[in-house]
Amino acid sequence: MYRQITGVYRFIDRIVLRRGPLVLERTIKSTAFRVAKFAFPNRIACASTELYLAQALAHRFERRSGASNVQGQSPQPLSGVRSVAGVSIEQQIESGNTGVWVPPSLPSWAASEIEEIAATIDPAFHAAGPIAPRLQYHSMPIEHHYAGMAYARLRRQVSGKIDIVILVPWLKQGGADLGAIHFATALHGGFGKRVLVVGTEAADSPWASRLPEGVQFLDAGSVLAPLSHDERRLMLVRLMLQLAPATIHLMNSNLGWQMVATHAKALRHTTRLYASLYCDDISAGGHLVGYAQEYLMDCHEFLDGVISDNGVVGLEWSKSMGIAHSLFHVVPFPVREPAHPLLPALPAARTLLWAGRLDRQKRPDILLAIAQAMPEWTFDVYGQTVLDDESEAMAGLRRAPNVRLRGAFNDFYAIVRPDHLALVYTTQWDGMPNVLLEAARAGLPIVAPAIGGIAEFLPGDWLVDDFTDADSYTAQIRALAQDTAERERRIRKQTEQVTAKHSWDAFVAAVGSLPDYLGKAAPADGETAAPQPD
Amino acid sequence: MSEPREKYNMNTDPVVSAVITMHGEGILAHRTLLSIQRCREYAEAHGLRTEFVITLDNATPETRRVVMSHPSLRQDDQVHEVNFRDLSLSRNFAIEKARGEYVGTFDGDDYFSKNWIERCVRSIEQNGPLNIYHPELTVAFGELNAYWWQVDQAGKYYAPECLLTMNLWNACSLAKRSVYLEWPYLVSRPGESGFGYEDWLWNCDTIAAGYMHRSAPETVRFERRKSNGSLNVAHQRTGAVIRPSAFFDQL
Repeated sequence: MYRQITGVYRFIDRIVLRRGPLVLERTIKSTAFRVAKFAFPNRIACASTELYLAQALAHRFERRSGASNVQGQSPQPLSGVRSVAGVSIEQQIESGNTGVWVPPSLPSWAASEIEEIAATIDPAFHAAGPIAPRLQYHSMPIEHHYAGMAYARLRRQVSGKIDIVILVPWLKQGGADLGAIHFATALHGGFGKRVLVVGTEAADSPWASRLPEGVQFLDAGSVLAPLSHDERRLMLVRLMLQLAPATIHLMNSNLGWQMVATHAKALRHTTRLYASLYCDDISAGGHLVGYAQEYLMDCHEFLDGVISDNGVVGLEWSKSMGIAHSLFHVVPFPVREPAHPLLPALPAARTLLWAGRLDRQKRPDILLAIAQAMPEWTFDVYGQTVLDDESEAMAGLRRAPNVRLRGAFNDFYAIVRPDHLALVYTTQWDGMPNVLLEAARAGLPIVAPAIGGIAEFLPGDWLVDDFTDADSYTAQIRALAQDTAERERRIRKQTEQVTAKHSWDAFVAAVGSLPDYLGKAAPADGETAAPQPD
Repeated sequence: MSEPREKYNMNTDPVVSAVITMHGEGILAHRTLLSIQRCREYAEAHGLRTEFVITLDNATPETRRVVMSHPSLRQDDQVHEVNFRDLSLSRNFAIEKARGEYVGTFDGDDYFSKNWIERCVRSIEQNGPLNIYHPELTVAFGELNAYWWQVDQAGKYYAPECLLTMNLWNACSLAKRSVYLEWPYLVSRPGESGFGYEDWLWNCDTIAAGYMHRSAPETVRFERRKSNGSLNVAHQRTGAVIRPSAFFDQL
């Protein structure tokens, strides 16, 4: 039924609508869209009549022009339309008869004016001169309103004055996402700021529901998705310029970084710019990649601060890029409190816990090597598999008799059991992993490499120096198993560490002490306690 | 509506001030002034006395020589040597100095259809002082040879949303002088401020203030396109955007 109706509609569109006046096409298509949306709600992807019309009319234009050329910010009319130069009257008539659109010629009054200009002022305008024969028709930019419509829709969703905008790609399960929620919660609850969190990528944001009431979340990604690369950036910068928040905080939004890289000067008239960066990533080829490598060299002079959850990366980037170390600030993330009291570990625990994403960064191959070197131990492995299931590491883990692959987890505290001796954490690069904070809070000793912020969090002699060295891991694990007093000492030290540096109040205080982050009107009392996120 | 023509003394009181900004146009300024003189003669033949208000903003010696010795200059035309190094400030300065009830803005290297001044004034008289006029047709020449119609805000092709990514009207406009005094052009130094496209901003701000951007029927601006040195190119290279405008809060 749907197919027959769309077939008829397309036929009418092709024969009548596309050739008729624009107003008629708009009216009929608008009605058709509403009827179709009502009759076939699951078939019509377009969200609104306006958007459908914009797309339909843009297609009409592309068909007519034979080219599409959105010029972004360029204030020039749309180009790319076929020239009338060299097209004879007969050809134009023939084209017209076959339904091919022919661009309009210069009107006679303009042609007369050109002749007069040629005769009295500039002979270059003569009919045989270098200009007149080459004149091409360009369309007026009437089809360029899609980005503006998208902007208007988003602008209307933001209510009231905004003090701080946090730009994220999305809000879903992840350490950086949790960090963004922490910042929004502290800013709103602790400092009374009016906060807007903007998701800039087209992805679901299930964790937006974790934002406290009063913090606005704008899912811009899905609205931006149909726009060109330039239009997305221009739309975002316009939204920011119009909202004029005192602070913009980039938290892993690529579009946000692009905006700062291109338009920072304009933004800084009213807004201070901060960015959170946690660590470099390492490509499959072994090169440093990520937002810091991509943008920091170009953007550092426009940033008021770079915020990290550890002090190691600031030193590294300062050393490797020559950026003033004073630009970097450490705001340790708070540890989440367990919902229920946790049971103490059994004295003879012989199971090890591994929790994280099974991806290239977290080195499941090292985990496999450790498990193979310790066949008498059982490994509970939790986490979503990102690596190819057929990869050597994943296949090995699946085959290993002492490894239990338990799949994804939502709550670390729910997977810790009394028979877990320690959390084994393998990784090649990292900031300060949240799972280590929660392990420390759960009273579970940690065996991890001296990578990124981990080297700040735990004493060096507890750590594995070389992240590829499975023997060092096994040595640390055996030391824990054999020396109960040492295990107790480490648990105590870890607990002190999270209590002192990773409490909610410590986090709020650190946010409050970021230079100028809260703006002039902000209360200077960084000690103000804010309600914790759920 | 403006006063009847009889009110004006054709010898002393200009009705229209042609504000012409010059900087480094050199010899190109000669033909531009000839073109504007053609507009003036046509306007005055229809009872609209017109003065030139020219700014030489840190002008090159050649530009100054061409302007100061131009045969179209009259005794009561104004030529001001200034050192703003900014198109907006030059234009604002000239508008302050202008004596006409109407102001038309002219770039120093373009040409214009002879009816440009007359047609705009008649249109404002007919449709009211809230209307700002732009040429109906633009003919680009030089680096680009093309023609296009400009959008009329009162016409069916106007979609305000376009102004987010496109400037619908360039700086060539004619309106009551009071409009320009109420809404002066803002400084545009994209390399320093990150803000640019002063004409684009002016269009947005004036629309937000209730003005209408119209196209004057059967008028043409001949816009010279250069391969380098264009302000537009400078704006694009620096990633300039227009300043915040109430227009974008009303979309």
